[in-house]
Amino acid sequence: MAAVIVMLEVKDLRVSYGHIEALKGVSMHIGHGEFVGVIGSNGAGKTSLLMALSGAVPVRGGSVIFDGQDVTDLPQHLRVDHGIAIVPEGREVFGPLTVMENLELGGFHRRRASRAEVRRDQEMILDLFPILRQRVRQLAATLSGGEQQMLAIGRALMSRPRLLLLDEPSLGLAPMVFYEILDTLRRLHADGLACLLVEQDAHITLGTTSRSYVFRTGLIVTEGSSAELRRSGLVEEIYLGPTGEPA
Amino acid sequence: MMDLLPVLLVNGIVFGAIYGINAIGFGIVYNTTGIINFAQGEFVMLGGMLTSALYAQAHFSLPLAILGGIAATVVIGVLIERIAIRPLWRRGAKDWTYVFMLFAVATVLPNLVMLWISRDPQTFPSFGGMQPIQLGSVTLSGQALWVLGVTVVVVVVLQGFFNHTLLGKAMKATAVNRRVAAWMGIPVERMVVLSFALAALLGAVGGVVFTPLISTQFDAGIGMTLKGFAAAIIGGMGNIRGAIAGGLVLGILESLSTAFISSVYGDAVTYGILFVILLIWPTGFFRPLIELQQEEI
Repeated sequence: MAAVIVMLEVKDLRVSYGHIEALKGVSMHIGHGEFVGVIGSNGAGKTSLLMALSGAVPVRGGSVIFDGQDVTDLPQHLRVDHGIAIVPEGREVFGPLTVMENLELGGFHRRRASRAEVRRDQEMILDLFPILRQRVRQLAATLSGGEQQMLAIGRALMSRPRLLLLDEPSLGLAPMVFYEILDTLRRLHADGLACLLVEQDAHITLGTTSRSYVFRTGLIVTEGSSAELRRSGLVEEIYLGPTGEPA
Repeated sequence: MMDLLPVLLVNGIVFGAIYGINAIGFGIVYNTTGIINFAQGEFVMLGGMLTSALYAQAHFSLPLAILGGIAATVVIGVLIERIAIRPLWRRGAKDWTYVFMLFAVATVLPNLVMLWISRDPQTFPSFGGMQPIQLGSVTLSGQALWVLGVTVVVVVVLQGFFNHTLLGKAMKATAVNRRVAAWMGIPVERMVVLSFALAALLGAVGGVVFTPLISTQFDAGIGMTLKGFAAAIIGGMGNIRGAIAGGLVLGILESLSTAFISSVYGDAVTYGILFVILLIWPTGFFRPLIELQQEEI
């Protein structure tokens, strides 16, 4: 990994909800333009990681350094200024607002930027997801699941992020629809966008990312190249437990 | 008695317009915070009382007194958010704590107004500049025209704000999902202050146009709170046109029931009918802004 310059550095990150520890000291990093995966079963702490990185939950301990700046306790609404955007679990588009309004709000933190520039980015996103172009005036709530996922990604892209956090983007989508979205993500990554993909589906994650972390009950149990993890069979063991029983 | 019908309808519409403006104030605060602002009617009272104090006691000209009364009410709205809401918000208080805090505010404010301004009903002259209009057997006074005109302007301006400005859309997004709004970079706490400022502005504007018609008093707020709340529920919380429609239904009901059934039981009859309406249409006549999200996702 020596060739990759570190963009995000997480050290001994701890998150708890009341007395329940969701992250018990997690250390990881993401390089510039890297596509990194996090896998693990339900309750492994995957979503808590994204909540902490995006500022939606307070951090109990440890640190998050992004591009050399300590963002551990940065308020949630200021993280997007640093280039961190999220595609939340369950998509969470603004249902009573139109597709275009959702995109406009994705660019909210650029409200002082030139209108033409923002407009150009909207066009770029509508080119990326042509189906959304036919729906710009429609309320987001009336879109199909796949279209909402595209909108959630487009909304995140409107902030011109350098790191895109993706929380279970396959959830509730037909495989064909999801593969199409995955292709788009690969293209964005090829253009230099760093992505952190969090998924329950280990095969999708390991097949898409270059490096992955395997989470279990709030800790990283193993990490390495996604291809190797896939070959090792270790993942099955982690998901199913060493004796073959569900963990 | 039927000859009175047009007059009663017009009266109901004028009163209903004020209830409707107040109902919009309820909706705006509810949308960004999930809180029912039980101090909403106090803004109506403050708008009227502060303007009359500036006019009669401080001898401001009427336009200056009006601007001052509205501005002071907005400042009070912002202070309420800062003092009574934000500290609780930051520490994750339960909904009923806010309700109690706002009831406390709604008790303290009238007392202060009684002590510092007056315990008697107050009023100030009609705005003028509008000729009364004769509609068949009904005469609409200049001030009644002001009420209706201001209501139309309020609705048009607010619709423009929420549908065509980024700030307005950001407030709507905050209403739909606070956490996701913050991820977009929307400063959610500032949206909450803004919602209280807007609610106070609406209440004060309502109070100012209304006071020359029937005067106001330190304890007039609670009645306005109840009626604005009722109008907001009939109209679908957070729905602007619904709020005005709800206000008009309430105003007309009140005007007719007072005249035809009983002036003593006017309120009882009005709320009795509302009771039945809500049993039949429990979610009101219009869809609340946020419900769409819950239904379809």
